[in-house]
Amino acid sequence: MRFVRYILVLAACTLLSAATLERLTVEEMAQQSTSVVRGQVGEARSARFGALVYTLHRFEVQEQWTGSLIAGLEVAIPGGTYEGLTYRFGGTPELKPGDEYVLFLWTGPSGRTQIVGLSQGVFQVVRQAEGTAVIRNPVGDTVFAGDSDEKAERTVRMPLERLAARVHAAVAEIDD
Amino acid sequence: MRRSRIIFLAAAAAMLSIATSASGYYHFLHFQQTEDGLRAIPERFDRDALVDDTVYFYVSAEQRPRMQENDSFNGLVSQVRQALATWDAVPTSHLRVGFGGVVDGPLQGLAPAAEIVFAELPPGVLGMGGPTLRGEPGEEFVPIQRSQVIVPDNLAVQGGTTFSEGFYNTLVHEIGHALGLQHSLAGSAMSMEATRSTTRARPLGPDDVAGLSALYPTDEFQALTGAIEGTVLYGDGTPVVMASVAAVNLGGRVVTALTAPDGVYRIEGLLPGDYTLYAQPVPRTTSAGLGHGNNRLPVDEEGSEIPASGAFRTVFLGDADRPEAARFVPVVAASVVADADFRVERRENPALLSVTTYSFPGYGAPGVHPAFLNISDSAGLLVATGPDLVPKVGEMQLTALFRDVTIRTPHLYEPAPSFVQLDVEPAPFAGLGPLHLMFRLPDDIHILPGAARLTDRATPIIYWLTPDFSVGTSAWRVAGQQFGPSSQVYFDGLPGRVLAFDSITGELVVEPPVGPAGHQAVVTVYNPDGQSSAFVLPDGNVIFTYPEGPAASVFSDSEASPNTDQVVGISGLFTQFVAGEAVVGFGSSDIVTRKVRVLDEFNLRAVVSVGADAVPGRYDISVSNGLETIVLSEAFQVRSGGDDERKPALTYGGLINAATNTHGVAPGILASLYGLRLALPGLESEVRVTIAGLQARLASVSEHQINLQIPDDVEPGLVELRVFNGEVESEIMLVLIDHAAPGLFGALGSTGEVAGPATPLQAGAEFTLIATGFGVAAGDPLDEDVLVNGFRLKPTMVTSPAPGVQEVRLTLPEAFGAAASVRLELLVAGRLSNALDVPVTPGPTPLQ
Repeated sequence: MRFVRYILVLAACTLLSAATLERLTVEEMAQQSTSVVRGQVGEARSARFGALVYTLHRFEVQEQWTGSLIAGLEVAIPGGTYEGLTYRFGGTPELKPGDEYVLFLWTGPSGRTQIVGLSQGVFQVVRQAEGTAVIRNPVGDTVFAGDSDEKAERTVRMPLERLAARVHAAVAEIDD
Repeated sequence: MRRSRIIFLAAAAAMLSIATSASGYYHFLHFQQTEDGLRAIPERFDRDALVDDTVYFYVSAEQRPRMQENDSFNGLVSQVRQALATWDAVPTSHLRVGFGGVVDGPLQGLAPAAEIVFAELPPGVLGMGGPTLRGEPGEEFVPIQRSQVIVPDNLAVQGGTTFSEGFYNTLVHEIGHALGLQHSLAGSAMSMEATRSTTRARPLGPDDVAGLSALYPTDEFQALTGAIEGTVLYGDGTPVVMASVAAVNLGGRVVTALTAPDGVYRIEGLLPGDYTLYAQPVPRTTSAGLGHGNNRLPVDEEGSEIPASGAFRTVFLGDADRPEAARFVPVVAASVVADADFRVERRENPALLSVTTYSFPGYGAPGVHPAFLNISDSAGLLVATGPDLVPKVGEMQLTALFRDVTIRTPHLYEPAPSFVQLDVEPAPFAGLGPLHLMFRLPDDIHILPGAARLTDRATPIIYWLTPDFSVGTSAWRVAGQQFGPSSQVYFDGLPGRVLAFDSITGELVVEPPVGPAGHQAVVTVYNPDGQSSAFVLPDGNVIFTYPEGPAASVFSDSEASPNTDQVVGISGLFTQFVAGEAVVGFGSSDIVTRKVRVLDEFNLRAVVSVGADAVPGRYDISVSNGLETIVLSEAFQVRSGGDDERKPALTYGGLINAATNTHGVAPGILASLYGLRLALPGLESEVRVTIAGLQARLASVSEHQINLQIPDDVEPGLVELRVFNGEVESEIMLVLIDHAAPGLFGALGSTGEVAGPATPLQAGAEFTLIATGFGVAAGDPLDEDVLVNGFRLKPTMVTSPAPGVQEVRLTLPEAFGAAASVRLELLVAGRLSNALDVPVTPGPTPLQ
């Protein structure tokens, strides 16, 4: 039905002060990613590509959920300090060196690897005292689509395994 | 209907003048604690660092986007220019917004500027924009050095066609961010797409105009509008951070503000009248690093973000849950109504986060947003969507704010049950304009400004385009339906010139804008209510193909030194330069075009300002004219400063009427010319100024200023001015000579003394005005009048005691002796001079 498709696309768009985003679910992000990985953030450097300055974060992949393994992975996020000047976009995710994340990544024709849906594709892994791991995403209910354990004002958590299962199921759906 | 009014004591007591630094809208804010409380410091462009108060936007061609088959880069540039013109047209903002040209590489220059760039964006990201580079924070503002608007480099996949209304509205929105505006909940251009109700025909809402004007206010903005301020606190007195407060008048104008960390808000830019206010929670963010409403969070002096507060029940001022019970706030121009305070009740989540409405334009076309309702129909249909809307539909009632419109009990939309159907019944006299809806739930309300626009006609449709030879070879007739005399016809992103509306056939006769040979432009008709033919056929059903022919090209070879103004001549081959459409840009924010004069369709002159920081080297010139943009590679050279260390440098606009201090000049008048190295030491007597090839009489000469008389024989019009400083001749400066430009230096009493407080003019006695600027009207008494307090009087005598100086003699009627002073003005050939306010005294009492 043309009408429904059309208005669903419109309803799915949201504009940020620094980014115009399409609201994506975990499944949509998994299907649009070139790889989904779990790992640890390393050192960062800045570089200019065309008119834009990016911060390139080294990312040590510990678990490859989907896609092919990327050697020497660097994740590009718009903004950063370049030639003494700091360019900053509101709404871009901040990756903390040493922290563990699950990232939904997309490598474009340029070879640059970026995060799907900016903050939507970033899930921080939090190791709990009893040894279990949960992931949390500050974006909240859209990406979790009612499958979260907690629906607080800004942060939603769910077990790491459940996220992995949803990603694998979504990718399997495409493969089928 | 019972409505109580409130007259705020503070308003009556004070009627405070509006402070310029306070922010009523929601800008990118930094908060500083002062003895008087929190002080909001917004990020904005520094007008002192801009040429002519203008921030220029540069379109990057370094990575041109891939586009759909019927789309083009030229069309994209035309849309950018239109989106910039939208913000440039805000009359109560002193900030001008200009197109700086196409840049084939990184934007050079240190001057503040903005870029529109194309970049590879990952899935889920459709665009980005906002200030990216800031200067050192000052006491009043944080200067924006660079803003960027980022558009996907693959528009064939993301973003859609550039001629679409959606792309245009997105550009307007992102450019608004680049200028320093954040999101609002007013349904305006700066609202998030889900709730935005602006269109190309109405691209900005009152809230956008107020937001930009509050950041860059003109004197008129402060004189003509008023403000409301107050607090939003929880019941326990805790301030609510980032609550949205909206002021709505009976005409449906909505202006909003967000509360500061101390719960204080201030809504500026309100036209005088009565307003209803409501406080509503802002939807939580959908992105890390942002606050409610996807606004960047305010920061404190250390740069730490100040978090937003939680949700609360929406409430009208006066603790009312419906507008009829709310307290009205009367607003007066140039004043602030204070103490419009809210106490709100916490709740875990807002009743509704946001609601998006759609209407159906007919002809089997899909739903469109923003929605329209034709009041000619007895009933209309809207469908709505939004988080939590469907689960709550059974307990929801809707009403219209200040409109005689009935909304039946909402229910699920049968063809797509994830949407809610709203059956709307406007009364015949419901009026036209925005329709604001109130969703009433058992324990809360949610207000959606601009949920639909009430109109009195259906969606326009184009049938075909045919040449119309009756009014010229370039005219075309657009056939369709629902057109009117105010309809506009767009060719890609640019409007054509509507020559006529045929009321019998309902057709429009239009002249397309200039376009490249063979270019195919999508034709769209826009009605002033905001509806367009693209509602039914988003990709356009009518294509206009420009005649085949040789490609246009341009030529120029100019050079200048840093810190100079320069006239750059550009010639074209197969061009059709049009005054008001042709713009010229350079690849650096340090080189900007201040004015373009189109001489004919093949020649133009650009007045270019080369900043002191401009790096020597060669720069591209881009000429954009209509739908065509031509880039001339490395055609403009900036010399090193040392090359011109003895050459006179003229300041653009530096020829000033000596009496009025304005740019109005005429033959024969006294004027001052400003610049650098106008006279070299020891060579003052050798200095010459030529205007239109005629040598001007010089009164005094110094390094930075020459006082002169414009030659009597100069013909009015655009003429060239040059200075020879005794050694080197300057570049050309273009000067517009008017027929007359009267100016008053002063007034002399009957005894020859200069009129002033100690020596007032005497009523009934003769006095003399010392003037200049009679121009070509000099000596024609029929063309000269003196206005005394607006009353027109004929001079008794006009003489010229010295070159460029006129003495105008007349008698001050005795009736003016009753006043303490009179205002004197000179009217010459229809031009009005500056005004002199001169004290007067009554004439001698006649003997009894």
